[in-house]
Amino acid sequence: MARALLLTTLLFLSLPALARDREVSFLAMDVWIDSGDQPLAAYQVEIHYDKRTTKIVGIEGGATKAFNGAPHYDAKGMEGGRIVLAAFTKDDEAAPIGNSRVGRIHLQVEGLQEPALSIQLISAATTGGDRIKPKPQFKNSKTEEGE
Amino acid sequence: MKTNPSSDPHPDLAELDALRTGEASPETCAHVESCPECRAVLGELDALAKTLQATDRPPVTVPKNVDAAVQTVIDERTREIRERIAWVTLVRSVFRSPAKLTLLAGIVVLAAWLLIKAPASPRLAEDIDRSGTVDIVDAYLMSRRLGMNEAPPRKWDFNRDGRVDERDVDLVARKAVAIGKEGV
Repeated sequence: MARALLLTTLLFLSLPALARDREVSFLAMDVWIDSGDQPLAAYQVEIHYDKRTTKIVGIEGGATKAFNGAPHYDAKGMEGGRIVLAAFTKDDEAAPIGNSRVGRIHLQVEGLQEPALSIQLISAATTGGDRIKPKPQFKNSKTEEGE
Repeated sequence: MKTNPSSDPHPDLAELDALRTGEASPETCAHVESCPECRAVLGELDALAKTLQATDRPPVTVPKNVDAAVQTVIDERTREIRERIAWVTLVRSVFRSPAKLTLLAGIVVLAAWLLIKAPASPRLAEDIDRSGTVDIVDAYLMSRRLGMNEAPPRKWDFNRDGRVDERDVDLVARKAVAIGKEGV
């Protein structure tokens, strides 16, 4: 009887810790591309994440007129640990120059740790179709609210 | 002593020239001594021989580099001829052997069949700028071309609906981001 009471007490004491481990949070990460002094007309990036703890639950466009629509992506990439985002603009005048926010992904993350994300450029082009190699990066959308 | 075949008692020019160089037969020597005509001809031959000796020059020496260059040309030409002969020999051997001829015909027919039946790689067809992969830049270039007045190539009709339009561009864009077998 005493042993059963002890086990029950331990179980109740450990519940908050278990709950914290299964805690789910949501956050948004912005995709930025710095094309320097070249107008960015098209981009394609590949994003890797830990599929055991992270899911992509939403994808939307960026802050610039050229890329404010949702980029192309394959829905299979929302949970598989790898997704490719790509978009282009036909409006040469709207093609952004410099560092631009071209997209945003919304993540569902289990646990308390920060999601492990990586991004790499697949291809990009300037207006006219010349290939360029700008640098993509992630920024947490909370830190960019003032943009 | 040899004489002219037309019952001529005089020695011929070769015999007279042999007399001039001291190689004639005793009969020829005896005849010429008693024949003023032959002595006259002998005198002319002697004079001719002296004239030729006067115009004789030392042999020309070919420079070694010229000799080597000529030899090189000869060697190259010889090699070309040998290669050609080898090809001709091979072709002849094929055409003379029914087994080899049948094998050759089979290879030609198989190659033609593969060329006709093998489908063109769709990935290559959609790689508009021939970068080696289908990506968003290909879709962008297609879209730009559609915005121009000139007609796009018919081979860009990737969805086989009979026309090249934004739906074909969208197909390329979707292929660019596809995850899995067709994906990047």
